[in-house]
Amino acid sequence: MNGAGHERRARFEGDVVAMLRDGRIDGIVRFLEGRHRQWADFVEDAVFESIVKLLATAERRDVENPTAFITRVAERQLLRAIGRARGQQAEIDELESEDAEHDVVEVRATVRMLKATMAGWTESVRVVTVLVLDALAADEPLSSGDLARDASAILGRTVTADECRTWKSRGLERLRETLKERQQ
Amino acid sequence: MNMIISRDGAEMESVERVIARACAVAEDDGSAIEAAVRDAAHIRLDAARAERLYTRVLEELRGLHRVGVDSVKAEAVRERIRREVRALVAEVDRPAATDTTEEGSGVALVARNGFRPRDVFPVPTFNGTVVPMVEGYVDVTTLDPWAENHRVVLFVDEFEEKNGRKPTADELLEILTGDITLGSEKNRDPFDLRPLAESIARKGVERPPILTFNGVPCDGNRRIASARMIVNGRNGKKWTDEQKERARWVRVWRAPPSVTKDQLDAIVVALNFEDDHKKPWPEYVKARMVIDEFRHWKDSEGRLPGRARVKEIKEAVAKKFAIGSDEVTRYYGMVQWADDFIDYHAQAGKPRGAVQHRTDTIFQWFYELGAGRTGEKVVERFDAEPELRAMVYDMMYDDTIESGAQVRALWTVANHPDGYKQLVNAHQLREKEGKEAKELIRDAVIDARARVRARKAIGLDQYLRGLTDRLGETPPSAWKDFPTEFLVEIRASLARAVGALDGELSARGHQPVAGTP
Repeated sequence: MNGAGHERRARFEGDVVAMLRDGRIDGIVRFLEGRHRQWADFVEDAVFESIVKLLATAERRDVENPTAFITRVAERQLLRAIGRARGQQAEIDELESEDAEHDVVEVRATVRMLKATMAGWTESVRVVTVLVLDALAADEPLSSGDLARDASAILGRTVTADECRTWKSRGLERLRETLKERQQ
Repeated sequence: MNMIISRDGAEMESVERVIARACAVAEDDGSAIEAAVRDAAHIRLDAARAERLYTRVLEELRGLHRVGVDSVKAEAVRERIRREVRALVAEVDRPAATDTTEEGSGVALVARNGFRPRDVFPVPTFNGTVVPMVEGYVDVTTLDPWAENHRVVLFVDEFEEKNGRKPTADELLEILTGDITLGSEKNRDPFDLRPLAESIARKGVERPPILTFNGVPCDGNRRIASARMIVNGRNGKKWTDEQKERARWVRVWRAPPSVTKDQLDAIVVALNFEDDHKKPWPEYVKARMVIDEFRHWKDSEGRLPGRARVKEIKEAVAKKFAIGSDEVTRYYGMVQWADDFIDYHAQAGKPRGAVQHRTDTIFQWFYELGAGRTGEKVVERFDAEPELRAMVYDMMYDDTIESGAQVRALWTVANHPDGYKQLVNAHQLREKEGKEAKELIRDAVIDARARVRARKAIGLDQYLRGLTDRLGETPPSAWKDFPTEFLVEIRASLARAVGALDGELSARGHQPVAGTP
């Protein structure tokens, strides 16, 4: 971890204490208990693990909204725990249950392969698409603000969240088309 | 890449799933989730859970795992963390733990019918105020009715007036169940508990009463009294053991120990001002609360508030009670005359409790008393004519005046010498000839209405003369600008009027005028 990473982690540690104090951590627990009432016993563990993940992520990059980050990671952890407890996938939300079902290792392998098809793309579209796929592979939530900030740093100019959204959309569409063409 | 594509469809599905999930990445800034979390944070974790989770989090933040579990340094870190956690946990009021029964720490909630005490979720909101609650079962015999409940307060006052002390909890229960009757209350079941008890014996208490942390019911007095009526076997009814057991265990919502007066008020207001098909509070009780609040705000101003400020206060009070500000105005007028009525009778030596009951019964009449245009209200004469005020209030009290409609007609009645004389006669007769006095009031109202009709007829006469002149002066060309439908309507009205006039003229021996429609 470099100096900036240390500094960021220290800042986020302070944020977490502030979240304990102002009730946001309690709120995340209550929010997730409300969404997954039968599985309340797993919630505290999931929230704790997501806080650990936030601090680990902070060592590498900034996080725009720590509350949303912890909540999203915790919910994914929770769904995985529910899936394990049931011995099958969680049923709660179609997309999220796929999330639980889809093994992280498999996602990482797929992302690596997808990234290999992107050589020669327009830089902005490629950078944004890679950032999105990397976040997915790292199992880390990425907000629109996080994406714009990281893309700006790589591209060396300020880009907006709307621009990123457009490039992401183009990049993913292009991935789909490329795969279809190759399949035929 | 070709490797993936050359394989079977399962891998393509995996790729499609990754792309689908990638679509959802970075779609928002997380503010919606954060708002939901902040909303959910209204119920903090109970102290035990908070302590457990916060300890884990702080151990991670303080790097306890890096220090080594058994070292002296680790113990020092642990101690610091313990202190920090205790301080964090103690910073806010927290709900009671829900996984144990806490004897001696508020009313005891117990598990029953497979239902363990737990936080009510979503967090209940009463009239816009969030109040976290814990729900569980409670033995109804450990609950006493609430003497300050606005519904029973009139009875408590009357009991106190009669006995020189407040009723005990058991006596209050007996007042509610009708086992103790008070002079002014003839109804043997003044709170309609019997049908409610029948229902509870069949199904148990369905809607949870709301208790303070210590078990005082701020909502649900009737349900609790009815359930106790069953358990105690009151009112001579034989309840089965099964019914008694069903009534005994009541699911309740318990407020946290930190519940504030504002929160308590919000609960009471929301559950009694908002229509929920429960037996509503008497309007007098509600009006009294609203106006007490209004006066309190006005008095707190320190000086007489201006018109704009009074309007603001009215709106604030209306908001608090979830009613319109016009209702505050209406209640203000009604309570003002109701107070005057109570003062008059109390000064005359009548028991205040009985007068308050009568006021409650006829509360709508006080609206009628102050209704009408300025200069056309009977109450405007009360200051100058105390004997009129006395007559009206006496006859409102003993039912010589029988309805709000009669009260509304009092100005017209008293405004005519004959009507006034009828009022005086009724007032004199009422104690010995109550029936006759009532007849006199009815006649006085009928006569007054007849006078109003006659006056209106005179008004019609003047109007018709003006209309006749106007029509006679209207040139034929004046009609061409009116829409056809309107002309057809005018003609139809004229035709009907002509028919009626012909009938009247014919009855008087006149021949119809030729050339009419």
